[in-house]
Amino acid sequence: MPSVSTARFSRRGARVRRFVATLVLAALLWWVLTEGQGLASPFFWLAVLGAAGATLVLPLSRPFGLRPTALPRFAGYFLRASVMGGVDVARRALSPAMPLEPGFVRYTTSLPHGAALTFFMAVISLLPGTLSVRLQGRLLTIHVLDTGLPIRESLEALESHVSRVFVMGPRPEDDR
Amino acid sequence: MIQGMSVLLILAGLVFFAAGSAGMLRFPDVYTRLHALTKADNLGLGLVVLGLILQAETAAFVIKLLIIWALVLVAGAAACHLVAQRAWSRFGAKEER
Repeated sequence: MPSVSTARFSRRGARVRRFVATLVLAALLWWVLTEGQGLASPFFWLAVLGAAGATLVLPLSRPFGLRPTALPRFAGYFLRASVMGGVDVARRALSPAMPLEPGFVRYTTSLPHGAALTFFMAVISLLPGTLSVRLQGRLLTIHVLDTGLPIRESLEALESHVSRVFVMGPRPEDDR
Repeated sequence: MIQGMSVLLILAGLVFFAAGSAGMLRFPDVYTRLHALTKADNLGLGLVVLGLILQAETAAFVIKLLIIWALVLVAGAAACHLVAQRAWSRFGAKEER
């Protein structure tokens, strides 16, 4: 069991690591997006330091890893689902009859809080006909365009995809 | 040939942007409008990016386009959730307009 003071100390270490990682990542992003120019611009420093500084005030999340072997399969699933989602909503929007049967669905997820659950909620909004509205504990409220669609089955499929991709570490309070 | 494919993909992308805008105007409430915007625009932008990649001359430009698409996906999903959550806490499930 780590004492309170070492826990606090290690939390500071995690924050510093996150600050540096965000700084490097934001600088890289800027460098790619400006095609190697503009590194001397004051906006570069404003954006990069702002992004990294924001991580200092945000709460620490659970560390997580990604399973590289699961990524290609997820990418394929994700692309197929985005195409289906886009085509489905475009068809409804352009059809003169505008077939909509909107409603709310509740879904209890077994994913742990943290990156995996955040990712799950984000991808829900890209699947055909579903939109994550809110989260209380592990109960998700989801808005659906057509309550006649097999919503629960597609949420379960997405959840198992997400749990294959993410490897969740221990909570940040436990150690480190 | 590649030019033709590129133009075709970009035009298809524009169709989805138009459909998203049509949904934005025609759909009855804030939630259904969010569906139209996020999904149709993400697919539309994906197709436009794909079409532009076919015309790209350097690998760096391809990476740049893919990053732009990824950033828009992340920003779109986050903004969509924020609007939906705000609408829920304001109106709950009863919201009609």
